Amino acid sequence: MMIRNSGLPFLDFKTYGFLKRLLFLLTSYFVVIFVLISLSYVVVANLPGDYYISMYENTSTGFSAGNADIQSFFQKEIGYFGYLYDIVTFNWGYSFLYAKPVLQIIGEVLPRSLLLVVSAGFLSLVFGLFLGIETAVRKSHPIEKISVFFNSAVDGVPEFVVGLLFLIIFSTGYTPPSLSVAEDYTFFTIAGYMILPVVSVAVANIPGMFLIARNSVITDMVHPCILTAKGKGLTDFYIKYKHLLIMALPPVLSRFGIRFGFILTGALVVENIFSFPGLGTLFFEAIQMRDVNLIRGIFLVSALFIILMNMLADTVIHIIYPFYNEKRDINDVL
Amino acid sequence: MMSYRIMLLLLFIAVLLGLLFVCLKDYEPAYYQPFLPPCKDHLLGTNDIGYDILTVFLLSVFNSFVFAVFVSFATVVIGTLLGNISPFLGKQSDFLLRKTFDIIIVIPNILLLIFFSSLFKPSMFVAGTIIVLLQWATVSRVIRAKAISAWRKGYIVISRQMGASKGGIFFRHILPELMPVIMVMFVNKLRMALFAEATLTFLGLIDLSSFSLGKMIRYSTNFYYLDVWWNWILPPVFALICIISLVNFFGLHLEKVFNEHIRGFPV
Repeated sequence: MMIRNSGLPFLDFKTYGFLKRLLFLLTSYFVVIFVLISLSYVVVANLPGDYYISMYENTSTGFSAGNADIQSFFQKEIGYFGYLYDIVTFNWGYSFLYAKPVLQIIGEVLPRSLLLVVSAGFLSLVFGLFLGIETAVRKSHPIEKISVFFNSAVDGVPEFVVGLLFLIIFSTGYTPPSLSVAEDYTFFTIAGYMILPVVSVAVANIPGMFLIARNSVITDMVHPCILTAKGKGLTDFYIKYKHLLIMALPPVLSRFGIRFGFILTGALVVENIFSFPGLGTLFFEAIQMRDVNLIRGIFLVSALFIILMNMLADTVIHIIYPFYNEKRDINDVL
Repeated sequence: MMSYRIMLLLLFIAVLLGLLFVCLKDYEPAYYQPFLPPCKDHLLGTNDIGYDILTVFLLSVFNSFVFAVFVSFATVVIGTLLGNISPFLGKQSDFLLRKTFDIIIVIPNILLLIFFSSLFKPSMFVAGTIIVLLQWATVSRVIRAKAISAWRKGYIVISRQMGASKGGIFFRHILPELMPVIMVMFVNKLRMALFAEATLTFLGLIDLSSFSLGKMIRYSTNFYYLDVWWNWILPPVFALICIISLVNFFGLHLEKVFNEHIRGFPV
């Protein structure tokens, strides 16, 4: 028997193949990062107006439109490659609105937004999987029928609609409406302020996870290994949360990766509704003031985070099933 | 599926009424006294600039729905065309095409749309075009997988060997075979377009000169402290939820019908 060599002394063949396939799988993400950075350059370079024009053009505050110093400060021309270099070296320019580096401003609010997005995503993933497995094993139970009906009905409803409904129902004294008035941050105050935004983002995204998890569990339940597990006398709990969960995970995670962009943008919008002092509120403030650098910075950070989560989902799927690829074509929804 | 038919009927009536208003009222509602509560003449009252809310509501439902239909139709047409050229290509170019699909799918759609709209404030038409450009790849990928498996089917291979042209086979056999998938994708994209349009107009990022459900929700929530919840804010919210769930049920219904159809005629 011939043993194929990876050609590298420190990697055995199995790891080499694993890493090679993984890298091949993740190439499109690197291309996307490049495309998004280029796109952000092109869009901003072709803007019809900028912060300078919108602030000073029609005013008589001493800045005439022809003041070359100010204009050159706001419209520094560095070219495409200079821009790429600046992005890579984390020199993302200054916010006009706050007169601070963009990355510093984003870094101040990012943890709150990350907490919101990650907990909402985690909640929707866990609840979707749990409900999907529990309803798939109870065929034609009234609870199954009700939850399938309800989840099919509200699948794809925008987050801001859910947020508004929660605002109508709960904001009249049951929970504090906004984080910005908290005086001391303990676990319970933060949880109290975050519960409505997190729940409204999660509720809008649970149905998608639920439906895909349920479908995949139903197709996996007839697999012979489940029958074997039952024959061995394993408990129901063990079968459900060991075998069925692992088998149902790849399509759900793949869907989660695709949906994560929607979860994050939904969180940005919902932050705006609940005036949660995170990335979303900052983003819409920047849009109103036409602070181009800040808009671009927030866009790039969010996009990078989305792509990172996609990569993470793909890597986990690759670890569970190294050859799982084509099945995600079939599960493509939205 | 009874609820599905009732909702379909309701949507049909709403869109028809919207069409009627578009035809009768010359697209611009008349001005009345602002902030009237619901009364006999104005069933949902009037809004801050004195429009009849019912008129605005019906126009918004009509506009949002028509926008979504156009966008999803364009998406599905482009996606189907580009998904179907794969079987006509060689291996290398097919690989490149598939990688292109992958790259466009990974681009975060709504975020890019928000970024672009926040800087340019595009019209409905431009925003729709961007949605189409960002969404066709998801359709193409599914259509490509189905088309390749369709070209490998026995009767297609045999008719190729008997001398049928590729174009003829495509229009005679492949396209009808792909029709169920295309319909399901159309319904999915309809929901996607409704979602995107509502989100963007709610944020005020699309040019707000025409009526839409998101715009109505946006303006009504400015007056949340008044007693306008039941007649102004909740109708568009519930209409949006109803239309989206109706679209979902329509998609499920289509899938069921096509699955039965496929099961009835094994090839």
